[in-house]
Amino acid sequence: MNDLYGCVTVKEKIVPLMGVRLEGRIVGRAAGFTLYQRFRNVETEPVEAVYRFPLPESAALCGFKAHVADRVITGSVEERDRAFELYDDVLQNGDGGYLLDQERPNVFTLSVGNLNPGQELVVILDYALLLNMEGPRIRLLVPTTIAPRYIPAHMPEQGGIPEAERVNPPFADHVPWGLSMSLRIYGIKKPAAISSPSHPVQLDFFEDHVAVKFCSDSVRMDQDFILTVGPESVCSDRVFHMQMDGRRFLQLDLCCRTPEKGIDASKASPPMPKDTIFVLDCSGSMTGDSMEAARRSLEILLRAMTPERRFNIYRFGSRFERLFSQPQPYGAQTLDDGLAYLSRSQADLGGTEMMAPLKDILEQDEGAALKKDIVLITDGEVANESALFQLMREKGISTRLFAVGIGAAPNEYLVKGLARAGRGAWVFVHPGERIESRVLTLYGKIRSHTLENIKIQWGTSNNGVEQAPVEAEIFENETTTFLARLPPNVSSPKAVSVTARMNGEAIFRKIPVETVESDVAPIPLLWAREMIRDLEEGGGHHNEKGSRQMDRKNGKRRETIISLSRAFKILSQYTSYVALEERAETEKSSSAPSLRPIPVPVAIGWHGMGSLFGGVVRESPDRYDVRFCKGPSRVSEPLDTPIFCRMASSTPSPASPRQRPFMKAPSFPRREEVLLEILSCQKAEGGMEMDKLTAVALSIDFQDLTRLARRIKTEAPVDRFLLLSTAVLLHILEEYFRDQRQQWEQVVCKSREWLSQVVRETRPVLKGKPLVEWVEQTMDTGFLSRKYAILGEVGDWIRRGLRSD
Amino acid sequence: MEKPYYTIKEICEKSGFTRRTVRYYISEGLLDPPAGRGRGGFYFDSHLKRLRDIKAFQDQGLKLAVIGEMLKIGKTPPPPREREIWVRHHPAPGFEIHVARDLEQKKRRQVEAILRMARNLLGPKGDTHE
Repeated sequence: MNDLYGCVTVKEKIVPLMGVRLEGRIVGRAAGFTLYQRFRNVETEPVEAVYRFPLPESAALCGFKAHVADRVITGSVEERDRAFELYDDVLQNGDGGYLLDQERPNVFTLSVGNLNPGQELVVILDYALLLNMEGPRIRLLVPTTIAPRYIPAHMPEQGGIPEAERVNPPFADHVPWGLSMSLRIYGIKKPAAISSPSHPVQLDFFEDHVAVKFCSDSVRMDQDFILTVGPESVCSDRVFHMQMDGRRFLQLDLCCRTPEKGIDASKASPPMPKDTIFVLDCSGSMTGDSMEAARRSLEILLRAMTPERRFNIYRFGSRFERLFSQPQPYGAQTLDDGLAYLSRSQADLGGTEMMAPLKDILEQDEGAALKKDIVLITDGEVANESALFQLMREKGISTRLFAVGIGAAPNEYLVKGLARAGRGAWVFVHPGERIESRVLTLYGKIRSHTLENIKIQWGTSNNGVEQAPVEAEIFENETTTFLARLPPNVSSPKAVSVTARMNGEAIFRKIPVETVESDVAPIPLLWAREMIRDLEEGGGHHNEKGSRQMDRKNGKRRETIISLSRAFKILSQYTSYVALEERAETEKSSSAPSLRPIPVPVAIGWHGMGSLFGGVVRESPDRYDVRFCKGPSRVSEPLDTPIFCRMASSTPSPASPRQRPFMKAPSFPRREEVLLEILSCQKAEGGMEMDKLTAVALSIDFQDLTRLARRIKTEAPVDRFLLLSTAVLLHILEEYFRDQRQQWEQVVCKSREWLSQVVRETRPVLKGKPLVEWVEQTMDTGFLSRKYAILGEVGDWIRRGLRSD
Repeated sequence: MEKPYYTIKEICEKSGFTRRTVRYYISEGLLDPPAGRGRGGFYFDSHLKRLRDIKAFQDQGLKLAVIGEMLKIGKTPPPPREREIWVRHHPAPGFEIHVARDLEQKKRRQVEAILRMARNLLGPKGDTHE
């Protein structure tokens, strides 16, 4: 065991947290986790450790206990203020107390009170969640640290305590403990489908599961852990049933498939809203990797826009600016203006006052039926999430919001909550992932059909059925989960019926019900969590003073949340977990405990601090410096505590921030690079003009292509090089990038339409054949089986075309 | 006979702050710790006055960081602003009853009883009594 303890030099306080371990089981989308946090007091007086840490925002926190010597003290859910009073009472008596508060759905504060000198214990949390699906892939996101949240100027101090005290922990550039992890994934058909863009992981294959660990014993807790699994199966509808305490619960996983039966998927994409407003977070926290990622994201989205749409770009920080005073039609000139504006954008606008630009956008043309899409690119590091959700719900009737979460530790709650409030979608881009493909996937959703007006018949009657969420729209190739509790004494239905609309057409599905007994993520728990979330986001954390009717409504909402939270033993904004340890007289703490807040590592890349891709590490002021010292030996007899987690035994030796080595920039497959080169050829009005760089990427001789273009005969004047280039590049996309269609298909719609129109008008012919036919037929079919062989062989194909006269 | 000291529960009831908030103010140095360290603890009128001063500053719209600085240099909160919010009721034609907004919320039942009485006295039936 490692004897090193981190010592916080500011005020010379010692930090009692020793290590953190995560264990989990994943079965399909259901995931159950146990988080172990180990504490030891090496001081000579009792201490109260306070540790603020993150969890996934949709987690149902369903178990809380403390393992002290040979005792297990189990927590119970109580109303928040009452829980604190119980905790405070036991501390006053010298007994042990353990308190877990929810500050946000993804931010929690653990208080471990009266940790006696030499005492060691482990706090154990259980939580369950349904993992997100991204198309056919499952994605797990586990946050490990909290990036500092900006507190807007006018945010009220609830209960007389500043909001910063509730959401921001103290920070340190580095800490001596790390996170160790062990996951088991069951039912995987293709083990090669498991990967992590954030951390090197080790996979061990067993008969019925795959075990996943970090390659090192533990990792720094300075960025999200991301794991993707799949693709495992195609999107399909399923209904699961589970019974608990005499009540029946149903889980419906509903997919939006294309082509939907009866829908002509070859029809043009649904009409897009006329205005697309891009909102770029330029606050200080975006400095460095995040700003670079944000600019690249926005560039891709700008280039993908279609003509005759209007757009605008907002930048915000402590104030906001916009490119145009009103949205302008999209065209070559305005695209150039937008790209120039983007290239000048830095993270130099100070704080993160997100409310003002969103209000400005939503209040423009207020009352008009004009629809618009907002695309927000941000790390989400703000504390006024609820107020922003409320703004979107109240003012964004004809507006959708799509959110791109950037950085190593973005605020998951803000990004997802805003997208939910704005009836849009979200995507997270971790520094270890290719930004372009992530953002293109989101763009596909912006342009896609949606399954809407969804009505679910949960059996013979919906009377008394409690459904959450109450309503949702589903984007193409996505799955959304609806949960329901049936009224008492109602048996489980054999099937669930769904009616909906897609592109104006009616959809009907009947899905059989399967009974399950899973204890990984029990359906009743997920239902209660979803009900609480619906209620919390519907009302907001900070209810404004209003009429008595509003007060009564809010009071009722609060009581419902508390009731659900206590009945199902999961946390909410109004409840806390509290565990009380009564001690023998000789074991009671002899004096009031000294407070020991535990610092967390600064998220890598936050405010430019550190980079996953190299760069200058800036020392930030107002951080705790951590130096390492041997703690005094206070243990007179061996500790008998079972060891649930290990110290970060392979933690690299501490170094000053300037000397910390940087991770190498992740290298991406060459094929991905080629795809992005091709997409960057697209012009504002449509058409894909190959440039010399793209020609090099495809190993095409640019002169060969130019000579071939001159041989095209047309019935009307046209840019023949652009014509040939577009036909060739679209064909390459179709033949060589089929498996990434979701990323590029929507982006190149305008080029397809441009090509169709030009071919109709000019009837181009090459070597006696219609141009498009010539391109398709001349390619050697042998190319198709060699997915990665396009480089060089496309060039050969062009040369053969030139030679075959 | 008035107590010279208060328990944590009593100081919370009298000041209107939750126990969590009182403990937080102690940890931040805005409020002196209770007397009697170790088990239990007692608060005095000086603690209550300090908490009431903090509340008064907060009612003026000040943030806690500023309040802390004001208290350090010995500032006391100014008297409440003269501007108040009142609710107007019209129990009968030609009659108005004005109730301060905070009282309207705190004493809702009593206000409603007064309004019913006023309607009974001043309404059409009330006229016949005269």
